[in-house]
Amino acid sequence: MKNHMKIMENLKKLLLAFIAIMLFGCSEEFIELAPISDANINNFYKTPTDFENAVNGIYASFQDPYNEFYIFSGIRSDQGDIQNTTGSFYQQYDEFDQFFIDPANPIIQRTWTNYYRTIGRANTVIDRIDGITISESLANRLKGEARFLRALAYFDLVRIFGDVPLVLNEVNDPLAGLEQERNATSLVYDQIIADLNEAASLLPDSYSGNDVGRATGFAAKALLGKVYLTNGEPGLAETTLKDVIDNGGYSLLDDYEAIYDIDNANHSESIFEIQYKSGLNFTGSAFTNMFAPGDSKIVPGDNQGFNRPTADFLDSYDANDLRKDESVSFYSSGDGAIVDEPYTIKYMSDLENPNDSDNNWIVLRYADVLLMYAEALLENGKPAEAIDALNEVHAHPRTGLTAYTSTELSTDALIEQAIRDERKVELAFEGHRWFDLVRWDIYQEVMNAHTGLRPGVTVEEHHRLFPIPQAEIDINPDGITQNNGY
Amino acid sequence: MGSFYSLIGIVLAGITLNLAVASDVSSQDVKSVKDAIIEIELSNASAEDIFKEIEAATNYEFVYFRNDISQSHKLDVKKTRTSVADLLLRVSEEFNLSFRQENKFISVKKISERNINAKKLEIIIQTRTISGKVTSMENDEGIPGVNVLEKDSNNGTVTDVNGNYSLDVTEGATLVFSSVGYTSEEVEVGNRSTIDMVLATDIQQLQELVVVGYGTQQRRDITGSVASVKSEDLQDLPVASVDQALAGQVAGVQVQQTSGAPGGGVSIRVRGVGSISADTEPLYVINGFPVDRNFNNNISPLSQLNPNDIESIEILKDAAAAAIYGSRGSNGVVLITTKKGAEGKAVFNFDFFTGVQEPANKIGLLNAREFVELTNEARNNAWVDIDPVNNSASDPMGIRSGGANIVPPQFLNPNEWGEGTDWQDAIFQNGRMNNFQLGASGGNENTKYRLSGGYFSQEGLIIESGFERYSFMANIESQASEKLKIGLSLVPSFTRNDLVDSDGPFTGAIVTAALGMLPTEPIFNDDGTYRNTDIPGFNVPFIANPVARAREIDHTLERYNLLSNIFAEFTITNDLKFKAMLGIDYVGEQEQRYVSNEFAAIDIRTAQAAGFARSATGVNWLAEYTLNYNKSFGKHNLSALLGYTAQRDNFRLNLTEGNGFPNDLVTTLSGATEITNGNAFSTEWSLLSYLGRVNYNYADKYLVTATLRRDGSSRFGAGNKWGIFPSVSAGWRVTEEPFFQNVGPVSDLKFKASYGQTGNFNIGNYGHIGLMTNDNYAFGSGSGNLVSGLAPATFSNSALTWEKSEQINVGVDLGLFEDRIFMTAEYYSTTTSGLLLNIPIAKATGFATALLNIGEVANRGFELALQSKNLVGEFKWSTSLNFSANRNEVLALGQNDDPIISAGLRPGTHITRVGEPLGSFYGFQFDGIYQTEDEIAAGPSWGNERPGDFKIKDVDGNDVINNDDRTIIGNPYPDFIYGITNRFSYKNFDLNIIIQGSEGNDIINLQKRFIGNVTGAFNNFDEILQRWRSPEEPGNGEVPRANRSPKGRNNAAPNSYRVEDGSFLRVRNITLAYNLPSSLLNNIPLTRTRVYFSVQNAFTFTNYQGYNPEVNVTGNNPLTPGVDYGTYPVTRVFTLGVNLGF
Repeated sequence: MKNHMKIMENLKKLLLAFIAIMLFGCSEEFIELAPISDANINNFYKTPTDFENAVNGIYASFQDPYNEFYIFSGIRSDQGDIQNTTGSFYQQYDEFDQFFIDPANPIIQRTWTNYYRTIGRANTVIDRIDGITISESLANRLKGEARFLRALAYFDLVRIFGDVPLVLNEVNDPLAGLEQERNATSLVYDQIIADLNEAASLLPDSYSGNDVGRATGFAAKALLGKVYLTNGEPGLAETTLKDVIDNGGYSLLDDYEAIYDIDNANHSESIFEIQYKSGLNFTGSAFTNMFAPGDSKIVPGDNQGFNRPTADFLDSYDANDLRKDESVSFYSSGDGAIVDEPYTIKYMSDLENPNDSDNNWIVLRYADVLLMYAEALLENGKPAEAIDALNEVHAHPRTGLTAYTSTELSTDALIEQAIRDERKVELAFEGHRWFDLVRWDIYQEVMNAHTGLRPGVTVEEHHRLFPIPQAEIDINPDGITQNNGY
Repeated sequence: MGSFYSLIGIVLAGITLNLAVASDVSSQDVKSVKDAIIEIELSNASAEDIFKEIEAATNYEFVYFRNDISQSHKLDVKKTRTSVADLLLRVSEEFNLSFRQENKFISVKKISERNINAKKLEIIIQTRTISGKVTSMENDEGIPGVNVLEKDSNNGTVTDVNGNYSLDVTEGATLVFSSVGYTSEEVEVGNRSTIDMVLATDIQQLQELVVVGYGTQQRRDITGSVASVKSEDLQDLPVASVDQALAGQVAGVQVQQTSGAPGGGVSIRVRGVGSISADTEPLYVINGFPVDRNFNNNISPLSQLNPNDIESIEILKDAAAAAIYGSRGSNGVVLITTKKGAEGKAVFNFDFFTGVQEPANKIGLLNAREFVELTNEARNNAWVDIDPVNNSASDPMGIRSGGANIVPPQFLNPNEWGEGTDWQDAIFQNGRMNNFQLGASGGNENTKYRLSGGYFSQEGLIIESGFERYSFMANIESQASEKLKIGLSLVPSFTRNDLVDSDGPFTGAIVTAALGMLPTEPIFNDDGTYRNTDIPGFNVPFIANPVARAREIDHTLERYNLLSNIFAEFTITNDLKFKAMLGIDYVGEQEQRYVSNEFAAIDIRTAQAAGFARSATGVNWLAEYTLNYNKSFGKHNLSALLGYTAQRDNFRLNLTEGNGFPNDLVTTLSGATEITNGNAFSTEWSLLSYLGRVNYNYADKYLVTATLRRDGSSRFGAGNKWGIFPSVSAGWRVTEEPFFQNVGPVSDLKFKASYGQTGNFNIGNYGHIGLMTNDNYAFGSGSGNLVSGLAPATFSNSALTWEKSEQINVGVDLGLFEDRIFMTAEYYSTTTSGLLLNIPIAKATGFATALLNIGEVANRGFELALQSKNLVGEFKWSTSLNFSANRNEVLALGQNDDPIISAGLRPGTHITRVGEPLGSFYGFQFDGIYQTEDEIAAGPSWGNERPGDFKIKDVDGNDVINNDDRTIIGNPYPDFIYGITNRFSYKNFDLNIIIQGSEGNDIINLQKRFIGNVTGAFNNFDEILQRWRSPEEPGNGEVPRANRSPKGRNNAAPNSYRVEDGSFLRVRNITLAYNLPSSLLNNIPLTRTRVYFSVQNAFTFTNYQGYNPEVNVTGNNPLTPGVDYGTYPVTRVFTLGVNLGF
């Protein structure tokens, strides 16, 4: 019995000691650890600087989709194709060229993912910026930039995929996506127009110093003009583009080649560019390697020969057009294995590292605005003014061509054709051709006449749009349906 | 009788510790002088007189130098009855003498000024040294750790690792030999100085101690599912890391050697895969320390341990056993215990083996002539396809357009070509392997130690790859005082991996590049430069020379590991002990990689020489406090454990990259002209836990164990930081029941059942917090300037928590014929819910994936382990066999149970769908090969097929072939796996054979995208000799026609052509050993000499075309198992080894 008491006594002492260790050892704080080497959402979005960085992050998200925009605008069209077509890597590109796109094509998926990443970043900024203390001018600029960028993403999305989910707020529930449905194209356009009008009112006309290159009010208006034109509203397009022409302060460069010069970013003809910067910072572009002829060693890296000028396109230059030699070139290997392989030189630059070039992608430039304006004028029944606008580009000294006269372009149809031909060469390989063909609704006739199509390939009405990524349908089969024909 | 002669003997005895006089001592009991009572009466007696008197009355003999004893001094002794001791003490006072009794001899010394403090009387009655060897009746091998005790005394020792012992005993003593699992034996010492003892296995008392979480338990008391692998099962296996040695040895544990990279790791799955995106590797606990390190195919963190230092490995398989590890237990727990010292004189062991490796198999590929034939056929077919009406295979090259349709001029005549280059031989070497280890162990009753040091080196099968390890280990335990035991365990090691880019697609890896390289090309050009596959203008994909990739890229990874812990165990009462353990697991890594100018010059995908240096430090510390209570009340036996642990991990990494190396002379970053990237990164996790366990049994008949753990982890969201993990298990030993005695051959029968909950916390450190990522941009005119951009990278999810597994286990242990046959059969059913799932979500949310606790998966399975002693005579044969079948099924996924389609290095290769196993292969099902145009026209097709192309199965039957016709095309999980180990011994020879197998699993052989694509752009598996050529030559019906521009889905998207049967039977190891008989060893100072010859991966029987049917390139991702996309081939290893003991 005594022994028992002693045990109990010892036990008590021990338990006390034990409890003491537990209490002193560690507290709840021991298991509260925050990331050390990454900023996190909980402590970000607090200061104006945070929001400036966040808006920069929206711009940055355009680098991926625009690295591949040529696939949709160029390879898909009669303007470009790809040099090698075999092997599964090339097959995913070839599918665009040959109107045979598998909805599981990774490029399709990446494109959808990339644009919605941009939209998500923009939504977060728009939703959160009113919650902090910030000067009104900076807040306006940042909101305007976010709206402009969101509008651009939706405009590309709607042109590529048609009806798409319209997401306008930061998503906090990962499963919310399961409830999403494709919204009608018209709704998406309403939002794009609203965002661009808002952006135009919020954004400054120009920037200085290292802010040059950010979206301006006129960039928003120029894009809005294109949206109106695409959306079948030529009247609004005309007035909007006129505003850009009269008040934007843009001018055509004397030297056509200078438009793409990597040391001449954001020049006076440029309205909005996706900016790239080499230096192994994941901010370089890949155009140089992508467009350099395959099996060539003209720049270091695995050159691909993508967006290769087609024979049809090479024929479309006027013999006197100085722009041809500044747009395309031909490569021959020394050993005779490759002879006169065409490639576009608009995005060639010296490289230190593969897929890491300084070449920007110009989304909007003044020549585009002038030609859109001409197109709008013509649609609005103003042929003479349309020819004037067209001639500003066509007969600019840098082209080496003479102005069209009203006798030469005696009918609306001839003017229309001239404008279309002008866009084709002036803006060659710059992300316009396929979307122009669709806007003009001539994609079937032009493509079916295109000699680059293989026997048996026919371009049909449904090819106006690209397929919805299979994975998005797999994730949400009720809400996301496939486009017709795929 | 005092004698000078005897004196010499005693001096000798003192020197040698062996009492030389012992032999002439009679068998009569020797009493301590304290116990010897005499009657004495003397007057005026000298000391000598007294001695003589004592000698007369007893059988003591005095030994002394006369000069030491004063002859003049006299003493009166009144008549008295006294002990000799008291008498001698009095003499000591009077005559200034000291006495020392050794057995019956009493030596006498004068106390001088030099030894003034000498004991007056010293009694040593340990007079006989008995030595001998304790061996097992079963196999004649020495039994270590046998208690050898002098009966009715505290005098005893323990046998050493070879079963030898030595003990000084009292005359006439009786020795008691006892050891767990053996019957005790008693023997009278008698006249003998050598006593060898043979112990029989005790069937009734098979009290094998098994390491369990936070303690040990007797095997017979275990009611959960715990498998044990002992050091003898791991010996002789020439492996760098112990995980490789487990293959085929444990039921329910699938050990896949997925890579043959030197020092490479394996993939271990305990009872199936219960997770989708968290880790599926078990928790490793080394000497009580849960280690947390990343595992991958090329570097196993267990490679820091020398397998020879491991005493045992226990695998906690069921949730009841693993629940004590709480939020880390759901993939099972592997407890690794290193060897400890045993009491006794120092024992040294030297182990050495040397070996050579060769490829376990080579892949059959086309030779140059066959390849050129393929090229012609493929390009002609591509040309004809363009316009089947007007084009013909015989059209001359001049009129053809498009590089893919033209046969390069050098390939026009296949007959000009012969065997060509064997690119596999070019990248393989016969790598050597060496291992040395020296160990010492020993100790006394208070302190035991074991020290070892070893060196292991392995040259890789692929040139320029290799692994080296310097490993050390120290285990010291000491009974510091009666109540306090302290101990230290140190496991330092240094490893160095020479890495090569072995795995992955041909664009960046050696193995697939070597397989795909054209056999028509030599390794070197005439000028000695490396030759690539590069035929400009003919649309042949560029492959950089794999020999150059191995030689001209230098990549090393050095790791310093120090796993150390100290403990103190305080005995509060006999029943209650408190133990504190503190430990640190440190890992330091230095990685350097340099891509040389030489390589950049030949590889179009490498612009310039570049390198990086990476250093990382991981410090993981643990504090653990436990209370242990053990008590028996009559037939009630109770033990309980209470514990508290805190663990924290900090990992830091620095990375610097640079390029612009002017030459290849300086390959560290100091030679770079431009530093292109520098990054430092730090991350942490912490875990707080409370744990408890109660074991209760009644008369060893009814057994119950219950455990509880509460874990709080930094890795989980604010709302879910803490979790509770309970378990309970029970057993019934039927053979203890009175009614079940002597029932037929049944010697042991136990039923057991358990239930437990465990978790999986491997989701990365900050999964619950939405992270921002840098996404920089540029602004400004001219060439622009960088600006910093930040963007959300992941969703925040404050509810994020661990996966919860619930498992039920029922089983039976059955011993027959005195346990000559012992069998354990178990059935389990696990449901894992709240799966941590990084699911692809609708991208319109702005994110591509989100980490959620979603979905449920079940694993149900059956395991059988059987041990049988088939022959027990002079020729012995025993077999252990294990068999396991597991069924994995997804029960729920996400909100709408929408399937997850995942990319196993290629898009859309796997699907995880309710009702199917995790990560089933997904794609188009091929339904044979079209023979004619009519056949194509008859049904739906992809749209551009021609005869010789694959016919795609219209799975949904809607007469349209599109992506809706993708279906499950294979199961990556085996129907069952098995292992059979046979051990034979005859006299001094042992032969062990380990066989391991897997049945019914599929592999998606993704490298067939190029090495089986029949395009002639790469070399191909020789299977494609069986290709379709015409309806008259249809081949084997599985390989389509050659075509440089494949049609239909021939070489697109995942498809059933790439899925192969991965069943195999592998003779994992054969070892023949010879123990030199002890008669030969008498003349040399060796106690044990064993030589052996072993073959690892001796044979593999499989139909799989790749190198290794255990391949699992993306094995870390449970959603994409079973992918082969080029991996380091496994090797066959021949080794010769020797174990010496001295």
